[in-house]
Amino acid sequence: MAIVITPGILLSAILDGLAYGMVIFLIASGLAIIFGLMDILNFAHATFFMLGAYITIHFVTYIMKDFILAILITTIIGFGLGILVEVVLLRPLYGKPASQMLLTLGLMLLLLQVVTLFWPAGLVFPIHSYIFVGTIDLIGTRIYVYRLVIILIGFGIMLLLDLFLTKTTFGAKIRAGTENRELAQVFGINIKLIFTFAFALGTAMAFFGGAIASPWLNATVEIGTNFTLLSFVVVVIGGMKSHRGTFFSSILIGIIHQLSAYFLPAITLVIDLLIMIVVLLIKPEGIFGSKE
Amino acid sequence: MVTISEMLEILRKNFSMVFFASLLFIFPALATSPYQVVILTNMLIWGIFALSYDILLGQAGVLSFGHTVPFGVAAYLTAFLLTQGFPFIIALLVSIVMGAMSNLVIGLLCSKAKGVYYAILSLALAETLRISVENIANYMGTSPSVLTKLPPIIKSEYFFYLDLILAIILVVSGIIASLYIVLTRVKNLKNRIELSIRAVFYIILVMFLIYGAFLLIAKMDTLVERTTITVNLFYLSLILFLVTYLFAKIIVRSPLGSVWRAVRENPERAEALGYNILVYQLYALAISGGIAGVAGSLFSMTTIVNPTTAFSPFNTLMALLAVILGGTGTLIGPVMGAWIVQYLKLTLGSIPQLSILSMAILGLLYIIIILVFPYGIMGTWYYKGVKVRRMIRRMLKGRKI
Repeated sequence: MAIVITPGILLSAILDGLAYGMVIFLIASGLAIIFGLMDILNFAHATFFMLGAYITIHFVTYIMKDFILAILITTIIGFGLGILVEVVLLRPLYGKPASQMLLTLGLMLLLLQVVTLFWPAGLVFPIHSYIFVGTIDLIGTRIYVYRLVIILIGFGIMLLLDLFLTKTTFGAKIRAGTENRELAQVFGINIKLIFTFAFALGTAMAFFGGAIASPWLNATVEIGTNFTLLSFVVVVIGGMKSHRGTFFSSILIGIIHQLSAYFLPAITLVIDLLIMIVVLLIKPEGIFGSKE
Repeated sequence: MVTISEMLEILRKNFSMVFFASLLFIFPALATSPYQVVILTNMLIWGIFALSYDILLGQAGVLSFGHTVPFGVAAYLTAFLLTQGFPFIIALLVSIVMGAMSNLVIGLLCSKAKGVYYAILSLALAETLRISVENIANYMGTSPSVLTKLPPIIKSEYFFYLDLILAIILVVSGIIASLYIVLTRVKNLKNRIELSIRAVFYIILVMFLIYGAFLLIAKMDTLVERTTITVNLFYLSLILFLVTYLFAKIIVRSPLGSVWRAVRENPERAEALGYNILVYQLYALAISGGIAGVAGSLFSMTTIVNPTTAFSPFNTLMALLAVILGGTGTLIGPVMGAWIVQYLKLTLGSIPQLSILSMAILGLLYIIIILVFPYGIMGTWYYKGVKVRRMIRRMLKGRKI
């Protein structure tokens, strides 16, 4: 099966890759913030993303056909769930990062089962208005409008997150906690509050990502398991702790993933994993990370 | 030469194990349907797998998410070798060696990574292997799933008779041990209440064993005729389970086990004392890989082997669940954990509506265990059980608590 590489297909693949990278970024940035601040590798993070997609589609299908409202409500639910998980499940285990990681693993298992329990067959996005299914012509290829919307939203979120972390006091506190937790506490920062807020922020971003991605990827259990690995790949390549590194590596992995999905579909995930393995073996602190 | 009194002493010390082993040996007679035997076979196999994970995580403190690799490699090798007509013992040995080797390869590849990175890297390697096996098979146009041709030993009835003899030996030694315990206690103890309660307890146990042994002999014909393969597979798993458990116990008590615990508790200090951490972790990886190979080898004979079952990351997750549930580093705890997990999975899972619920229950159980009983079932028993035992003993002696 010979695949003809035309500029149109290449453009389509790259735009898809960018959009995919933005979706990964919405998951991985929260993962990176949580890992940097709390030293927890949150295995449940991509399942939060999956849950966000399910809740959004459920809302749009059965309650109200308003996508913007659905995104808003999903994000708020995500923030609340984040606070709940952090306070109830993770707070008793402060100081035991290994136990916390194992706990998030259990949470992942639980959420995957809960989702299949409530929605056994997955959910399909129901609205077919122009913004979701429409296409525009670019050099002879049809590009979905919604992918461009996702790219725009991704860049916007990156900008907002960057501004939040670098320009506000609260963001500065999060960065201080990431740099040195004890020292931050000495300077009077309420680290528990920061932990809760950062975890809730990350969860809300994952839910938001799920809501945004739901018209494209729909809601299945597979997106939860696939994005778990993909977000780990991205975070490792991005240097584990920086949101900017995560942004660049998301774009990189998104484009590589979609290019291989277009031209070498048999080994799509393998290529991503191999990139991560090579990066970990050669430069364990990540391509965009700095040595401590 | 070991004298008779020394042998009796060994029996007395390991009474609970002898009793439990003989109980397992007479189980096919007590089971009401063949499916129960199948369930117990699965429980034993996953017990072996959890045991291997406990050596790695609980003893040496290596958190690997790639532990499904030796399992899957062994499952595929056994399926392949048995289908080619090799005897089971060769397939088993090859599986053990290759299981150990595959874990060593993962360990060497990941040796630079520490902690969380090690976990991610091993997970990534395992997933890469799983997807590759699937895709290569698809690319070559063959189905990646293999139905193992069962070896003649599983089909022969002589194997069953051998197991019968083993069962009777175990039952008899269990009876001798309990008699010995009661008789030696007569000299030492003056408290009659405690002695009589103990005597009644042992008499009930012995009666039960004798009952089971007779039932086994009485049911022999039907067991051999109707369910030879099921029962023989069960006995094979049981024998291998007991052997690996004993092996694990010996290894853990050996100097090697002490070094593992030193490395787990304080790597810096262990290194300062002159132990090469990497080498000892590789020992743990190899040994646990070999034991996981035994589990994988048995697993390949119970179901159709395909990449999703053999190399699934959920296998590692199941072992982790069992280890956390039973108590890390206690050996018997993870085995019990694996039994609980498999029992829940297979009994609830056979009802279609409840199959997902059983996994949800397991996830919830796991979270609760981590939060409330961080040491697991057996760990909590070792830490907190002392008080309970002391309380019971005082009650038996008739003192105030």
